[in-house]
Amino acid sequence: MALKMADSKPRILIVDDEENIVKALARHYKFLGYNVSCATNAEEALSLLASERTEVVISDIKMPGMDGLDLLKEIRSQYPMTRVIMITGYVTLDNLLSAFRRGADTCVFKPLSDLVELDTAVTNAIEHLRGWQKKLRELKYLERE
Amino acid sequence: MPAESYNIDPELLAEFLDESIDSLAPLENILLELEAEPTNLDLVNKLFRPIHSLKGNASFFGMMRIKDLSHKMENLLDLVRKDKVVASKDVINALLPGVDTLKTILQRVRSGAAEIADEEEFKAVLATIERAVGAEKVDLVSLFNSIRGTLESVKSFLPADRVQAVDTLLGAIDRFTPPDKKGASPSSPKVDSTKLPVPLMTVSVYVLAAASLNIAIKPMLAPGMVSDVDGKLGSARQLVSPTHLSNTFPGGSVAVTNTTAPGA
Repeated sequence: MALKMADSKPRILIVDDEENIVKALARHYKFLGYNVSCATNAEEALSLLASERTEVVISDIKMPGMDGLDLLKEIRSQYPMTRVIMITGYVTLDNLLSAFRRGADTCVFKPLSDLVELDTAVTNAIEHLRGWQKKLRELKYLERE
Repeated sequence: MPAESYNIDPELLAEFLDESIDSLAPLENILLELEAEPTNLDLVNKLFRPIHSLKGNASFFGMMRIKDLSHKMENLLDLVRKDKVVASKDVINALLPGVDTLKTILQRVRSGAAEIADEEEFKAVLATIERAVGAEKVDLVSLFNSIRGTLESVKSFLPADRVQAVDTLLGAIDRFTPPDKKGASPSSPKVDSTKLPVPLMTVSVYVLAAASLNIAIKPMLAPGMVSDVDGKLGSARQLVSPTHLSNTFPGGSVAVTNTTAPGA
């Protein structure tokens, strides 16, 4: 029996301690038609992730309390299929390597003068998930033959 | 570029639900086997694997309750696996309704319903698992209470210089008793008990107390009391698993040359 489900848009969670950045990105992605959740710290982000299916997280690296890299680590452990894009104005080689090592999709540097690079990262992240769903469905059809 | 819809393919979800229900089917029997053989790690691993996969996959399919519950069950199983929590009856009795609830949720979603119907019931299942996760701390408290009781009961039979040593030891035991069991003070930091290893000092205090009783105190007691002390020490000893002791004192031998308490 196939299940009926409501049609929905991908959900993006935006995490940054600078509220104006959260607001600007939220407005932008809502305008593009995404479902958007917002958090100003990592703890809040984790509680939002626990409550709703989230496809993409856009997170700042440098935040008071738990930082973006630790949030990334926690997401990899608890929500391994959720895609994570880091944004940072505080770029060091060490930060960038940590983000790469812990499995971030990519890192976009602030200031986000235009959102082309971030939009592309979001689109790629969703495409990545679609690609896996397609692969999972293929497996199912193979099994039937 | 405007966002296109992103939905989980319903057939894929149905397939996932069916497979997950199948993967949980043997777990009840494995739990009953574990009850009979609480130290069998193979059984713990057999439980861990499907729960761990379910935890990882659930959020991809948007089943956040499944993720929450399986995550907590995984934490508990991980503590059992690492020998930090004993696979006691309480642990089994927390995991059985956990498995049952996971199956119920999967079946509900399979029939097109929401994950849970009764929020309170779900929270109760989670709470039982969280209590079992805290069992490690409860064991330590029993251990300390047992040692404290033993020390206090023999104090009046000892000469003054030994009483002082016993008091120092009692002070050390108080210091290392988990704070929430002494009547939580409002300033005590919030500790996530799932991440709390058996502290080195806790085991050290046990060994010190045992050594003091054996070497310095027992020779001064009447034979009847010695066997009473031995009995109490034996039951306290049960609460510290061999792994904790060998991790704390590698090499297996505990050389006790100085039987006085720290600072005495």
